[in-house]
Amino acid sequence: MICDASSLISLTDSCFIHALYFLKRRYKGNFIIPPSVEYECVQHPMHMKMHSIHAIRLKRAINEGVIEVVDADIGKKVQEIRWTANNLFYAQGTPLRLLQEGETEMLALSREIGVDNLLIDERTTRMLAEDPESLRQHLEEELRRPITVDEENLSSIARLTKGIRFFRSSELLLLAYEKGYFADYGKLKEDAIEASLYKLKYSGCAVGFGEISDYISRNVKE
Amino acid sequence: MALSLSETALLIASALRDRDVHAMRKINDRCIDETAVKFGQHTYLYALISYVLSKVISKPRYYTQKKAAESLAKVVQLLRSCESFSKQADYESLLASQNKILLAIEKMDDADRRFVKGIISKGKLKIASTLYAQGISLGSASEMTGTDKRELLLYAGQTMMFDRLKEKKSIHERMKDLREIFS
Repeated sequence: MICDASSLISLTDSCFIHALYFLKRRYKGNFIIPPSVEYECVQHPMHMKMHSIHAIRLKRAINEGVIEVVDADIGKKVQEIRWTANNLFYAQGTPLRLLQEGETEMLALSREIGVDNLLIDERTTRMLAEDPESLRQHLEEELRRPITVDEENLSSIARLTKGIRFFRSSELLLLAYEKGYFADYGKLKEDAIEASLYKLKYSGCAVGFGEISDYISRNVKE
Repeated sequence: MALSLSETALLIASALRDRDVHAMRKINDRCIDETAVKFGQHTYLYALISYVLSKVISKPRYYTQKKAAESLAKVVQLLRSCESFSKQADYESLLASQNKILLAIEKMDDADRRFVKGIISKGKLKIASTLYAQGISLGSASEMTGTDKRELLLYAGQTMMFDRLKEKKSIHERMKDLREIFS
């Protein structure tokens, strides 16, 4: 599973990075990041008083092999995806610059190394791949002007992101919960996972209050 | 209709002169929308300037400072320069004047600092969060405003932006896929 900076930030900020250790111990797969995410989440914040502890937690996870830094030659793919994504929607003739290099790198790496599972809390990238029409409508409402689509680039984006499955840190934590991550909490474990999901949300994971309460009431506190 | 760079300078100066917070906020909204569409540095800086000025004119602790009149007069003068440079299409000088305005406001903030995060950083964060809420990606919003992604995520997490837009794929469907991977 390839991890984006946004998910790692949400997980470390809410002190749930150990959910990755927990899952890594039980399953064969790897949590992968490109060097740019390592820079954003480890090297860059290492010197920021407010965030250095999060960087240290991630550095430790890398040192201990829980997260693996994978470099690949993705320059061309990054450019292709970035150009397509940033020439998809138009506001009165002006293309909207939606994605930045970091986000397109995640998609490019996924294609290059053949890993279809992406952990990403950031909303726009996910919506662009999963539901571009809703994103267009949202942009139209927010920017109060008509937003048109370049149909050719829409097909290209669909092709470039075909088969990618997106997950958020909220789902990863729920999975860890199902596998016993909160077992130590005893009778409090249902409350603990609910509270933890809200904490993730407040840390920036793009999940709605409604989504959390609906899932908890139907699957955790039935 | 989109505002030109010179019109924006004129409107900001006018709202500042009238101490009109409402007008300043409206200019700010328009500048943020334009930034989302055109991704232009000058428009973004006008968004930032109008945001911080709306704070300055709405809080007595700024405009009752000893040197406030002097500082605000300097800002008005710089806004006039911005207007003139915009008309001449001298974008480098425009950028320099916009940065001087922000520096002048930062000095006012430093004279009576209440929070670790200054008014300029707060403005950048607020604008970045609005851009992200509008549909620009986290990375692009962070890049345009010079805001750290971490801070932007934390700020966005305190808003209702993730409840205002329903995602097509539900948490139940994502969980189903995830269980399959980790089975």
